[in-house]
Amino acid sequence: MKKVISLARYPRRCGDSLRVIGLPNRAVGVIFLVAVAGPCLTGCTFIRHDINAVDFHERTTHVEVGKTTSDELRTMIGSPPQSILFTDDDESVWIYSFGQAKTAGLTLIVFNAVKTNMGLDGALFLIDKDGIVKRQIVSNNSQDLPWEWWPFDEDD
Amino acid sequence: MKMISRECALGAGRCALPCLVMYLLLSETGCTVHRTVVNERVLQLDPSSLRIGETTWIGALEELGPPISANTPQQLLRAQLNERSLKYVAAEGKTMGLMIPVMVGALPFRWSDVQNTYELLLEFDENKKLTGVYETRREAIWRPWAKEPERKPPVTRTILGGDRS
Repeated sequence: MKKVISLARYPRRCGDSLRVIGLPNRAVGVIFLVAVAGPCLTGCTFIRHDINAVDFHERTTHVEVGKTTSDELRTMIGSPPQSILFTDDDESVWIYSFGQAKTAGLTLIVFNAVKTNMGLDGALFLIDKDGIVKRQIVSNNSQDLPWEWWPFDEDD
Repeated sequence: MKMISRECALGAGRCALPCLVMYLLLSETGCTVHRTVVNERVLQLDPSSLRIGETTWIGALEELGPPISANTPQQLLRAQLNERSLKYVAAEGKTMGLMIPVMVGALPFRWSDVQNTYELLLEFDENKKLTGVYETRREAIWRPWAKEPERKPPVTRTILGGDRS
């Protein structure tokens, strides 16, 4: 014997309750749909910032320690140094800085979670008294920065 | 049984509209949580190979790389370097934003806390020889949920040489 359950009365009850507030069923249905679907409209954010030369690491690969002159260095990098430190040994340190930031986010209208990973780098070129690059030191904080959007970690 | 169900339905119907208005109002309210991490790789620097009185300024630079003491791109534009110290910094910013809708427009609130969460300082004497290595750790907090008294005090410790703690 199969048990047959009639669902006919349930819509009627629902209709009764909606008529009480004075709106037609269809309008209430649309409003509910918008209200529920609205917050579900999610978005993603991806922002990338480059600070100074984007391809700075690549440019420094052309520098040959012991050969490249300060004039050639300026041409290779594409700009004069940001600042110069003069040492007691008649040498100078040319200082460049550059970097990158990657921002990723999840936008849920009522809640937005965003994280920015920023890497700031420095490049130092030690120039001897003859104007030749004696040493080259470049950091790599901005290399292979991850895209991450979750802003909390285990300590939060 | 049938009467109870009908009363429930009628009650739900009466509060449906205010609930709907409230829901739509709240759906305009936005909360933003933004964390910024600057130079996380500085935390991996290992100064244990440096030697007090032996390691030179240029030797430390070759071992640890150029120091970046900036925690924003703006600070980066005025790079600072001197022959008596090198400072490596990792920073963290925690920002919470709340957008509350009012009759016209919206009322934004924002709480932000930016800290140098890690600092590694190398000091040199007049002969450019290493005299001390120190590290400081701080924490950034999520305002306004976390209050200032809840913040752990910064911890500075001497890793090599030096005469301060």
